[in-house]
Amino acid sequence: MLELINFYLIPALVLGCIYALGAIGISLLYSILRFAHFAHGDLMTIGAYIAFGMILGVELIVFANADPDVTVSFLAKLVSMLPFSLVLAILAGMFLEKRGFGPFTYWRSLFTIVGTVALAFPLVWALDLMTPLAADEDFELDAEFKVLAVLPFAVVLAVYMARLLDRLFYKPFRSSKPIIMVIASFGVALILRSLVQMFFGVEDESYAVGYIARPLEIFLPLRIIERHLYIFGMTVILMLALHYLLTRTRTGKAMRAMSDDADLARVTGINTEQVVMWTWIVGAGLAAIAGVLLGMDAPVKPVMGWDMLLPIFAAAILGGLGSPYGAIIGGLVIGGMEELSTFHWWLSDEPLVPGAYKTAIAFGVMVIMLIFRPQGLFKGRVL
Amino acid sequence: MDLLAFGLLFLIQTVPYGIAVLGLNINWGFTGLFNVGVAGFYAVGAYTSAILTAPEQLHSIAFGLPAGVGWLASMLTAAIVAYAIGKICLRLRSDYLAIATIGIAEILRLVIKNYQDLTGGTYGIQNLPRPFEFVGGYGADLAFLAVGIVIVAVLYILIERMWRSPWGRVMRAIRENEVAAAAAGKNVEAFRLEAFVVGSALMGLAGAIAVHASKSVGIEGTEPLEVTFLLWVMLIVGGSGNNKGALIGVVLIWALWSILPDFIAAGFLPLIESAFDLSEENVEDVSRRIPYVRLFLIGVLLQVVLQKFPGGLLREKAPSLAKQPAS
Repeated sequence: MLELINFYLIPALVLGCIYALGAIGISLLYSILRFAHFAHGDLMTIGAYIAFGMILGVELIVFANADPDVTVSFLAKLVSMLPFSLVLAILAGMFLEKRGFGPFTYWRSLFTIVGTVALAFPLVWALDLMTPLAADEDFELDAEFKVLAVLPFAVVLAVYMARLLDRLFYKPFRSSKPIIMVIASFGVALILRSLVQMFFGVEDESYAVGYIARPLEIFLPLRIIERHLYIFGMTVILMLALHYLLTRTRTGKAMRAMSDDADLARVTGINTEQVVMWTWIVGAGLAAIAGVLLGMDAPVKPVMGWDMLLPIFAAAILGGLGSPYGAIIGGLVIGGMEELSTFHWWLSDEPLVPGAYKTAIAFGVMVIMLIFRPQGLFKGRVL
Repeated sequence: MDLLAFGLLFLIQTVPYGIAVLGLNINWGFTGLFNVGVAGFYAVGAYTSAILTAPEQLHSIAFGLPAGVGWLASMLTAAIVAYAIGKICLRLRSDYLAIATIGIAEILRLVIKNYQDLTGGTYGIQNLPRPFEFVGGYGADLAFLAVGIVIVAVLYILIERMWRSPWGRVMRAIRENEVAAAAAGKNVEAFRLEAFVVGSALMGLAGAIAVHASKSVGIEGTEPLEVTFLLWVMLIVGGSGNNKGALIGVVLIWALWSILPDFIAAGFLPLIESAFDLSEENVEDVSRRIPYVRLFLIGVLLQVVLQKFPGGLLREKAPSLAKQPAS
């Protein structure tokens, strides 16, 4: 029994949380932009790799400074800080615009570029100041700490990227048939993946090299690895925040209105492009977080997101495409079924489903749903 | 001569793509079905034919039948798989078909990798027979190419006739306005299923011919994204709905795909080398990433064509009424 909980149920919940975070985005995008977003898995990959690149950047400066044998040019340091300064420049631009210093319509790109380069200098100096700390032999950063520290930056960049993708590749098709957007998103998925492969190569990476997690023993006899706790906690907080956004804010109300009837929403004066923007913020943000969380638990590799696509769609369809709450349940169910199916039920020694075919479970569930209840458990929209 | 060998190899490689693109055109160009599982059907055909025709294998079963039998069987199995998926998904919104076809392609990859007794798993299946092998030298390649070209030509003529026939007209009607087609008394679901099954069968045949050309089959040969993606780019660049355009798209994109790596290597590697002062090891690492630059460029090309030239190179042409056979 304990084996079931420790080695099957907890991993099942972890996987379920990650699926749920991805499936929410798929469901929201489907209900508001009316298309199946095939690049969603690759948005997860992008999120995971942005976080990976940022960690690499910080480590490059801190540890290279600490080690006298290694010299890193100032230019390389500057480049490795660019992702951070880009985030700061984006946020500063948004802040100034809110304060009435805008509109930056024409100047925004220039402002962002100049700001990014300018802000990279103080960041490098700030990290140089940390050098004495890293020179200490015992100094070692906790892997979880590193990931959680860069996570907010990675999310901002991933959202920024998703909005850029929307502007470049999806917006031109807003008024054409939705299936054209699906084709475009299929192309975007490959573009994103090839970008990752170009910049990071195809090898498996990890946020912490040679890092072996010891389970926490506070809940004995339950054993939970620390990072799993973070994954649960993060997912719960995000879902509560999503619930608050959808039910208690004007933006959420507008999103729900647009998902019910886009034309009617527009007629009542809702700024539909702004709703679209918020959909991307939520969808891409959750996808990026899901990617980073997955990267904490599994290797970071270019196909990690694509491999998630099928289970995520299965989860969204199970919950009903277009229903974010359904997507959460769907994600947990699919994750649970995939992991628990490899347990040796019925007291035999063989697993119920051989591990290699785990992924097929999601597909099986999806096919059954499509045959018997295509609208999903929680009534999404079909046809 | 080297150039001759290269040219022959290039043309032989375009034959399977040509057949598959015609199938995809029946799916998408005629009927508007978004099939993203091309690689799945391709793999079904490839493995069916390989298992049936291969001589004795070390790791899997084999039957040693002649290649022709394998090719016919590959169409049949691909059609059966397509029928099952189509039956489930074609009554739903088009997005669902896309999701389901991606799903089947991924599942098939899983089965191929893990069911070693049947597919050879990671070993693949080797020593497949290739028609006209006994000729030897360039003659064998030429003869094989001739067979391929004859198949493509016959299919082209048949599919052009389908396009002009009442059947083709119904397909276009369904694509343009499903409700109107249904109101005219057409069984939309049944017609869609026909188009889906026929198109997918051709993809199966394409897979079979491809593996007989290379005489072996393995998991990497049916890498889902590249096959599927390339075919879509070929069709959309060439002009969906236009068979001639689709075939021109195949040759163009395959040529681009083949020369791009050398082109990128020649153009960018020296530039990067001089800019970053790379060591030999780093140069090797950079050059290993060139295929991804190529994938990126082709991806961008697809987006540009989709947005700026949605008709493709050769636009779709409705057949003139006078030329249509009497119905």
